[in-house]
Amino acid sequence: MAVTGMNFTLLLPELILVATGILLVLLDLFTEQKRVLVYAGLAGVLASLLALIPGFGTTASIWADMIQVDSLAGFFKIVFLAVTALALLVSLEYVERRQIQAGEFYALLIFATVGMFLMASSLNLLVIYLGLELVAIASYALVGLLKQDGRSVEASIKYLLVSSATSAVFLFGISLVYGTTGSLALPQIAQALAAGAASQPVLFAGMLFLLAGLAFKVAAFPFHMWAPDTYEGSPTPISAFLITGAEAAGFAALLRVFLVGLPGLADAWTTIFAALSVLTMTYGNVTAISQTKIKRLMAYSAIAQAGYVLVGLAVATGQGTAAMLYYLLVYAFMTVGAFAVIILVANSGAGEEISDFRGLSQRSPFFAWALVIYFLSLIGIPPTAGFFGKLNLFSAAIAADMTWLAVVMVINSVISAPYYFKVIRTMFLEEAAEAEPVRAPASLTWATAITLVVTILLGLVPDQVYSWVRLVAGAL
Amino acid sequence: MAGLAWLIPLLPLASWLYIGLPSHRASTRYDRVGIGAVGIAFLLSLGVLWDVIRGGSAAASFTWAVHGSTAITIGYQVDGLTAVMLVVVTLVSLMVQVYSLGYMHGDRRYKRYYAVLSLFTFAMLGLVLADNLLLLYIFWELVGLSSYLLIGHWFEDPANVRAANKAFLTTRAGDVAMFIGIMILFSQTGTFAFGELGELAQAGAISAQALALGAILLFAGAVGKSAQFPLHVWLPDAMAGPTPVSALIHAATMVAAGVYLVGRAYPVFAASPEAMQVVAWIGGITAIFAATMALVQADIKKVLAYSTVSQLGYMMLGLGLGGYTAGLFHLITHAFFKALLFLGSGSVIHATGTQDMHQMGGLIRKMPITGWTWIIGSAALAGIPPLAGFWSKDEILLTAYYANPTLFWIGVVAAAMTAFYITRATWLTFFGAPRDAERYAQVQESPRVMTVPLVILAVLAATVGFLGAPPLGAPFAQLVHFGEVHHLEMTSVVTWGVTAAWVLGVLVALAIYAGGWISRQRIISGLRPVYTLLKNRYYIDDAYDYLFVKGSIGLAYVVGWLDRVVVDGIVNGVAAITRWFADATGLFDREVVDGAVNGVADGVSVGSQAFRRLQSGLVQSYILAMAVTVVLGLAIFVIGG
Repeated sequence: MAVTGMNFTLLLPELILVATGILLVLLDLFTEQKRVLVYAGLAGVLASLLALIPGFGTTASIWADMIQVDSLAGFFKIVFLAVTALALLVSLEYVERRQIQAGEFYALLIFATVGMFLMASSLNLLVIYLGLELVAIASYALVGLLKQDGRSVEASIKYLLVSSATSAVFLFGISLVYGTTGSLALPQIAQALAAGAASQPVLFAGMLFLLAGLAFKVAAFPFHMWAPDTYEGSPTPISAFLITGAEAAGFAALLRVFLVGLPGLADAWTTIFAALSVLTMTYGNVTAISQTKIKRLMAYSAIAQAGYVLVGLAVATGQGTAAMLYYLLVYAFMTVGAFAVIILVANSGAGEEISDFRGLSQRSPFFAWALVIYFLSLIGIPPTAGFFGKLNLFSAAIAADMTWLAVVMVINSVISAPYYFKVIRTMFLEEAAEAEPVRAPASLTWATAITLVVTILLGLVPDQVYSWVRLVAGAL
Repeated sequence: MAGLAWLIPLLPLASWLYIGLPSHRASTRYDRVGIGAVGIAFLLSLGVLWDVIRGGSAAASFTWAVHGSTAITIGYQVDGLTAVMLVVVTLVSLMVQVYSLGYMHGDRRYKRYYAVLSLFTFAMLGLVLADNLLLLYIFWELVGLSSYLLIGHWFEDPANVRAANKAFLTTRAGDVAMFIGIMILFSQTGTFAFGELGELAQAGAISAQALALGAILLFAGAVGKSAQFPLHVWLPDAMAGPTPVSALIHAATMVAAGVYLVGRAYPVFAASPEAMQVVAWIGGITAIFAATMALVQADIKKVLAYSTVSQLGYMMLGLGLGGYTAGLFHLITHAFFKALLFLGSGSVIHATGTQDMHQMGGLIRKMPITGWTWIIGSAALAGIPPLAGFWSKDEILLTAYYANPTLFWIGVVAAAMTAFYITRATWLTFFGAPRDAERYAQVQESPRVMTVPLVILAVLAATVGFLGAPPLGAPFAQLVHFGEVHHLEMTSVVTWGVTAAWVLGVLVALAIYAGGWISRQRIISGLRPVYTLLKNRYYIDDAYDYLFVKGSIGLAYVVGWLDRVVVDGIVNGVAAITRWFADATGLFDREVVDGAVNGVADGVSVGSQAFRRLQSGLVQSYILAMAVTVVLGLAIFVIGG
């Protein structure tokens, strides 16, 4: 069994990423041209993407059932690779300007991606935990890489402390679940639950602890408090990476653990997720209104967006899962795109205050309009991708007889409009202190163009992708 | 020709893109691009109308997305209502853009102004052509955005920015409800298309409650956009924008979009008696309520703004009582005479440099064209026969007379007030002795680019009413009707009521302001409380400010306070109770945090700074908040079983 289970072809995407990470560390020693690292990293990501193809559509448990290769894992791997590629692109200029150690930066980025892969592609609680830690440890270092900047160091330590505490809680949850069901494999846990282990308070506690550990990952209220500090302090490309990639990984794990492992407790956790969803989106949106720093604004916006995605778990239907997946995909692109513009502004010598966006419409119309589209999409105004994403979640809530949740969602998306519009107004209605055009490096232009096209296309022609995520959700 | 209707919005879109593109050429030709595009669009619209009159129609749609088992289609449709609206929108937009050549001459954001006017025209035409709720909603938001940009055109003044924000947020409040309404209708029928929705609603395929709820929520969007009570507060403030913008957006077209929406989705509304009642009553209340506030305004544009709110109320009143043709006909006639009045007021403001009517007077001697076209517009608004407003208002009141006598009398009283306030405004502005001699001395008639549009609109304001005149066979009703074309029997009560209303209104106004037979001061002091109430807009704006603006600022404070104080407080409280816990965290702080900081931080100063900030207890509180949540959750489940 051990030998037949060692299927290296299906594990190739992960192996390529690990090899790329090691390669980057080595390359760093031999070249002064640090952009070579980005190109190598992009090549590795592309290779990993291509390596996904043979396993596409197959469902298999390999490596003694530790690794699950299926369409859900495939979907998330594509999202992670896209986010990583975009993060590499937007980092290029940033890393050079801030004189961050490039080798560590890029290699850790790749290793964090491997961690996300593990979180999405396992049905075993311990492996999920392993992935979680791999992402977290790489992230501590990434967040703190701006060593001259006190905020970055502070962000890193806060992240480390809070994350360690939740890891402990998560592990405790795993041990409680193991103790009551006798298994770490999610399908077996589900069986044990169905066989009548459900009513034990200990299991409730275990579920609650698992939930807390993952709710931390997706920055759901009240497990979100680290997020604004961390996202504000870390290097901006890392904020973009964590806010999209790590969050998506958290949702992947949530989907696995709760839909596959604990469907027997669905009555309890759907209520919790519904409550978390409402609290998270409302808290994020209300708090975002009063922000003056763009990265804090994006952090609270991310919290609110996580609240929308949680609707999919609150309804716990196939349609809800599909809507979640669609939204996560859309969210990754529009958010990384918005961060690309933020990085551009920061690189141009202005700071990270909202007022630094003054007159961007004259200094760089393309990027200003791009940010408008991302923001319209984040608000959910048709015909952008964000609208379709919200529509899906909305319909899923109505179909599951949770109209009130849908209504809360719509009200929230309206509350969110003012703070996005504040930025848009600053860009278009206020004059810049200096009127000279912003010089945009090719890497940022590419990242923006790609995310822009995806944000528009997923809104205009959502069909194919939506039917794909329906299939993925159906296979879960 | 009707098959080419989809081209019409694309022209201003192209013009917007062209003008809006950044360019370093110092050209002033942008205005001509905008005017040219909307001019061609106008000619095309005339062609489409001509085609539709001869029985043509067009529609096309394609599948946007398959959502589950239902296909979402979007497309356009051309029928009588669409064709008429296309002509009105392009014509008024053309007039306004020509007029702006003079009015906005030398403005520092001239280019941006023309760009946004083109954007608005595109969005409004798209809204009119949309064959389904979703597409309409997209354009609905887009017109709102352009309105926001134009109200804040002179954003150097914070008051203008506030007005723009107020308009945007107030209408958004309606839009939320509208979106939920759209989704309710969608969840019941699986379609956004007006045609199918109407058929299903009429066939009774939607449960009565869902239909009423959906229609009323949809109407809430119209209440926001068309500035109906209680969301009317934004429109008077929106007068902060340039006056030609007020004419185009806040009088003739965008604010009429709410009325248009009710008209477009009329089969849905008509199938729900409850929704119709709501529409009628909101309309009636708005009509009289806004008219009372127009009585006391000193600002010439504010008079017109409240008048617009009131007239939009009439349209809703007509639609709600089953007068489909009457309500929409008033929309058309109002577009012309109110655009005329706004442009006329712009001409006056341009010449005198003030909006306060108490600083005007006698202007007709210096500005004859502006003056006489204004008088035609006023007479049309007051409902004096045979001008446009007479025919359309008459139809609405006739409908009301048969359908709901209470609302009929409300309408008649509001009509008398209308005649009063517009006569008052006319007299204060154009007649009597100049009250500000210095200003008066410098006044001269506006340039030709401004007066020619006034004359054209005046001719239309005088004549367009005949299209709905029953003695001439009411050709408008042939084009725009719901179900069978039917004419209501004119009765003497309505004839006399309407006539008495405008005669009385005009005479009382003249008696006070022209003749001085009734002392203005006596009325004001006699009715002091009423006057104060009206001057303060019934305190509604203040109440909203208190409730929502201060309320949300308060909420933000509370949330911030929660973050800082409560969470910290929990930490301190718990620490105080459990000495042990405090010791443990202290130990944690000294050993773990200190070590970590020193290890990671590059340099002692940075490290100590980070440490100081950590010392504030924030990280502990973060972790504790999470722990408390988990424990609380556990407790709830254990206790609740």
